[in-house]
Amino acid sequence: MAEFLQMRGITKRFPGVLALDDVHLSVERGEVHALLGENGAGKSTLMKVLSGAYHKDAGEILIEGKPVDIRSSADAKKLGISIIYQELNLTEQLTVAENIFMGRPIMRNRLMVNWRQMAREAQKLLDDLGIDIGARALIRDLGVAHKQMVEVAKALSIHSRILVMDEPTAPLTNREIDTLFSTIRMLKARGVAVIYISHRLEEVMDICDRATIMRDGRNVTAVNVHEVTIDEIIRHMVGRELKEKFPKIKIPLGRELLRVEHINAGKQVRDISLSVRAGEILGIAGLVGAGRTETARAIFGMDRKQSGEVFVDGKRVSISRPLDAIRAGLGFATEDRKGEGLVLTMNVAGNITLATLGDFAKLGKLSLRRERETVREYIRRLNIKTPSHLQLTRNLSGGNQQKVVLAKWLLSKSRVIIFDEPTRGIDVGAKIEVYNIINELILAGAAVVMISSELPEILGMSDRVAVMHQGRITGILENDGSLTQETILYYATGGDRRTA
Amino acid sequence: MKKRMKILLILCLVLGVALLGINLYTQGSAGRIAELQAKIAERKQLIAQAEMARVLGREAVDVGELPEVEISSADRVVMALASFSGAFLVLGIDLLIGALALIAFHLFKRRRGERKVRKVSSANNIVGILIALIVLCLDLSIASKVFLTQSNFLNVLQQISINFVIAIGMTFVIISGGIDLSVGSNIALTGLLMAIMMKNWGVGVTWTIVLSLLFSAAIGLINGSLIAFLNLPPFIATLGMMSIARGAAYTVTGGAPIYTMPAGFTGISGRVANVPLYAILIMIAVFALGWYCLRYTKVGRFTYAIGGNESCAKLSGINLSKVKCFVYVVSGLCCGVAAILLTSRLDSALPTNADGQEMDAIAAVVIGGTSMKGGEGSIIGTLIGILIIGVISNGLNLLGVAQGPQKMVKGLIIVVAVIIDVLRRRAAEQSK
Ligand SMILES: Nc1ncnc2c1ncn2[C@@H]1O[C@H](COP(=O)(O)OP(=O)(O)OP(=O)(O)O)[C@@H](O)[C@H]1O
Ligand SMILES: [Mg+2]
Repeated sequence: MAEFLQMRGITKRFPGVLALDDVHLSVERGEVHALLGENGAGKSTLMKVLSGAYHKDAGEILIEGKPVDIRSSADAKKLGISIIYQELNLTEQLTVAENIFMGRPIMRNRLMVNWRQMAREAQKLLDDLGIDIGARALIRDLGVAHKQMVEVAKALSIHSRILVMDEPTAPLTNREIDTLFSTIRMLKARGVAVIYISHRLEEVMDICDRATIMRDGRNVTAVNVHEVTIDEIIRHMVGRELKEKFPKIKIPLGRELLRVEHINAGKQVRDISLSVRAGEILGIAGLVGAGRTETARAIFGMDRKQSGEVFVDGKRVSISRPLDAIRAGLGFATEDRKGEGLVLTMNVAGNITLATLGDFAKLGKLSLRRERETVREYIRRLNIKTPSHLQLTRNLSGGNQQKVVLAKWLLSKSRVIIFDEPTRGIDVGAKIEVYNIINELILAGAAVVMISSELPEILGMSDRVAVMHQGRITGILENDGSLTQETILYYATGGDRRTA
Repeated sequence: MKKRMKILLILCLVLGVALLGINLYTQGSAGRIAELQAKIAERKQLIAQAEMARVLGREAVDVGELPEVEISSADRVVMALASFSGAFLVLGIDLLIGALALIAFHLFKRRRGERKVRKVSSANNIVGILIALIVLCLDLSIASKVFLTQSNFLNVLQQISINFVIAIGMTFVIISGGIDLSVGSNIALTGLLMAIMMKNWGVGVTWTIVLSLLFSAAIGLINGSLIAFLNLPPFIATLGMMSIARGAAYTVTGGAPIYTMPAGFTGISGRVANVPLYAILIMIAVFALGWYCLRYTKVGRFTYAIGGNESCAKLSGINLSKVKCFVYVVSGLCCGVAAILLTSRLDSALPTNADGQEMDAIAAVVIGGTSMKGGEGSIIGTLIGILIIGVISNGLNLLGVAQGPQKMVKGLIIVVAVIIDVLRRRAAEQSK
């Protein structure tokens, strides 16, 4: 019998890039099908062809054995295909409910929108997903993780036959992932075909039935997830064996480079004190909404601090805007690459050198040659997949965009760098490269603060772990080998709350 | 090749050939039509004479003796077509060129697709508008014999010089994500200031120039400060300034113009060996500075960054206020330079000078491919945009089109340019 959804011989070319080359994919009803591959392998592009965002150059798409013609996202919707894109696509000024029902509002009659019912239904969707936000909240007031969950709710609000999720869990922590997975299982039982893209292979082993693996725009193989191991999948993806997943190095710690004392900023940052020393990696763990990103933003001067002090290298510094922080020797690689990490209309080179442009100027004149050489070096070191250093960053794949954000701050030579979800959207092979580069930083005497939602990463790379819950630090734990995920989770759910 | 492209291509070819055919045919029957027209005219005249005679009560002229002019319906059509013959020629040639360009583009793309392109940049956009400019020049050289002459060329250069200088400044502002509506008023006010300084206060030419450049830059600085420090939307801040500066221009002289500047000053727009040498040199200098600054300086790069994504720029440690002030000061300075050119050319300063100049400047920038959303654009594109606008105004003048319709045509061109911009962006997102 023919499979429910089949994509055959799909080819897609961009100027300078053959993104898809004769790619096949077939998915059954009630199946969760993983689409795997390195950054820039062509996963998102394949899904955008399915959702009508891109036109394919060749190939055909069949649903229930019948060829279908998908030329726009309206066509895809009619066929029951809905997609959660890798990048958030919400309207910041509107409410959660309005975003969820964007383009198909619930009407009271021909002319009037039934706002109340729309909010009610949106709230029900959110509650079912276990998301703790109001349907009338504005999107711009939400953090990245909550925005992502709104995207999920939006996709679920359409009763679709095929649901595509492009890295839905990248900004999420375990708790949200669990609710997401139970939702996926429910959809699966209803016979929905789910296509699931992720770089977190443990999740794939957990939730998926089969996996199609791609490399450089081509099919490598399709496997039954239950019959293979993670290592085998990695071998197919990367084309080689990966030995160690976390290349942790321990070096003698130097001076204290960053200390913050009693910082308060809004509801999410309450009386935060922490410190990092040269050669040290301080992990910050916590659930979504615990205030980790907000803490980093407050330290860095992106958000206003109500009180508290920051010391860099023993000296008190006053930071009221990012420029002050950078001058003091701090760097901050944000988690929100589309919103704050990249200028999408600028090319790769321009983005990488944006924070350090002064280093490339002599007597006011930029040396484009020196800039090009430096940028090319970073493109090589981070293995950024791009046809040229002049490619616009909006044309890069998600993981490669993330690498550009990292490169920008690696170049900054800051003595203290805060990485917010540094490996978000980055493939397994490249993750190790990122860790190696973080290692190089601390070997060179820098201090690193690493905010991460992936506990294995926190445990694998940090020397100490600060755990946050509801805007407060509930524990600072030494990562001496005996620390476990359970302990961290205990603190992350408020375990050691002294207040009543 | 896509189906839609094919249809477009065939349509272009067929229409182009048809139009050229019509043109040739009407030209071929030009003799006969002229004869017919002469006959009609003669008869009309006679009828008029007869009517006149009747009214005056003079001796009647016998019209009946004149044979009715026989015009077949085919001839009627030909005659109607003949009056559009010039337009048909131009349009036909354009369509054929368009079709050829489509074919060439397709062949080029197919060849290129197989190899790897080394450089991916905005060059494509510029090629598009460059082709538009060339086609436009071709059209006008067919439509008007004067167009391609050297003296007309020099005229065009002098005519565009004001808009040229301002549009360069406007490019900075629009790339940074803003807009400057106060340029026209700034020019008028600065122009009057110069006139007053030289005529009433007896300030020397050099000092006048220096001081008035400072003055126009200060207007820009006020714009920039309102936007950077008080967070006013650029549209509102510069709209206010537009009205304030224009009002001030009327106030300082009570609305009266000031005539006749010192010779040293009018010499700036004078001609050397019939060439407006200094104006051309000033244009080249402004262009080179603008180009260099956007490409080779930090602040130029930052201009793109804040236009593309302000929060990212901020997070990267860019001083937003400084960059914003900078772009409006650049725009103000350009107004100062434009005021010098304009006042010296007109040999007078009027409070109404450069009214509506902001529209021409914005149009040039947008036609040049700079996105109104900010973050994208180039000085070279603006240069071509300026030339397109300049050539169109010149062409309309040569063809004897009145000011009213000229304004309408220009408005239409802006709208079309923005539509093309939107479509291009959408296409870029969809596929290649
Ligand atoms: N609009 C575009 N213009 C030009 N090139 C593009 C465009 N979109 C994608 N590409 C290129 O196509 C290739 C595949 O990109 P795609 O986004 O599908 O990768 P991916 O597998 O989703 O990677 P990731 O894991 O990083 O998200 C990349 O090399 C990318 O640079
Ligand atoms: Mg992707």
